[in-house]
Amino acid sequence: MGCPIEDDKGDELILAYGANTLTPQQHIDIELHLGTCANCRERAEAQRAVWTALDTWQPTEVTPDFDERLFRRIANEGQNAWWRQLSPVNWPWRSTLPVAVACSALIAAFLLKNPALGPEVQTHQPKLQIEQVEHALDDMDMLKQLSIESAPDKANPSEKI
Amino acid sequence: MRLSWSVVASAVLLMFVASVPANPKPAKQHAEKPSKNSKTPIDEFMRMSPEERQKALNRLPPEQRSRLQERLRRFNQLPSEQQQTLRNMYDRLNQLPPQRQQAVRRSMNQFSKQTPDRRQAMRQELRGMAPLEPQDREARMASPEFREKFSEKEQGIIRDMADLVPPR
Repeated sequence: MGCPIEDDKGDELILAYGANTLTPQQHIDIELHLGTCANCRERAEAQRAVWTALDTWQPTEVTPDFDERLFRRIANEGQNAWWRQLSPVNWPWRSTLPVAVACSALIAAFLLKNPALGPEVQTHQPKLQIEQVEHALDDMDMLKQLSIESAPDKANPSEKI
Repeated sequence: MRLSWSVVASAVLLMFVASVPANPKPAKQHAEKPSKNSKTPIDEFMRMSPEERQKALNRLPPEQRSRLQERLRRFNQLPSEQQQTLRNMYDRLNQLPPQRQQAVRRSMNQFSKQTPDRRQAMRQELRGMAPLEPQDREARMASPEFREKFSEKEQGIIRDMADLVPPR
């Protein structure tokens, strides 16, 4: 058998040797090689140390109420989030947020469409000119001649305003 | 999902509000239905405070000022129904394009120069046209009877002044 380190699958072979998953023939072959190859022996021993450590490790026993306590802690973390602490009241955000968005849109649209409620805008309406009143009276005088909606005898079309 | 619906609803609301005119101007009165609340310069003048009115009048020479005050007094003494009729016709006149307004004013001037009986005949014709739809008025003015009854000049006067006559 050639040196497994020089082979592409050398690491896999040594790992399998440490895990005792090699076939009997492969096991014999690699043990013969380890007797002559210091590098491979060193790797195999390191691998064996890992397996030994894993065999001796005792996992901490999980308490029966572990899941319950874990979920409670997750819930508490959510409640104590910084953005929740900013709000004095525990708002039901999921239901109020859509309403808030809709109200904001309405207010924005209202202000956009009624700029007079925003910054004060002065609209300069031209003041009524007294000449306009005179012209209107002239027009009324002419129109009065028609008097088609009034009884001719009651209205006096000839009389000027 | 609920949030996305709210965004859609907000967008729809926004579009609805945006579609409403900003400063809803009173819709221009359609020629067929003049406003009962017409706003002539005379009405505007009468709504001014006494001080403002006096200030405006003081801009006129004394003689012209007293003549105008007298005309205003006479207008205000007209029966309210007649005042409203005149306001309606004034509105209709002012809603016409400027060139048409000039034509109507010319015709009214011509009208005043006609003899009383011809004026009365034209008034009567206009009164008869008042309840007619525009196409019926046209038909009437194209009728042989109309053409026979009125001279070409009178026909022109009636045609122009018919624009001021509100349908009843």
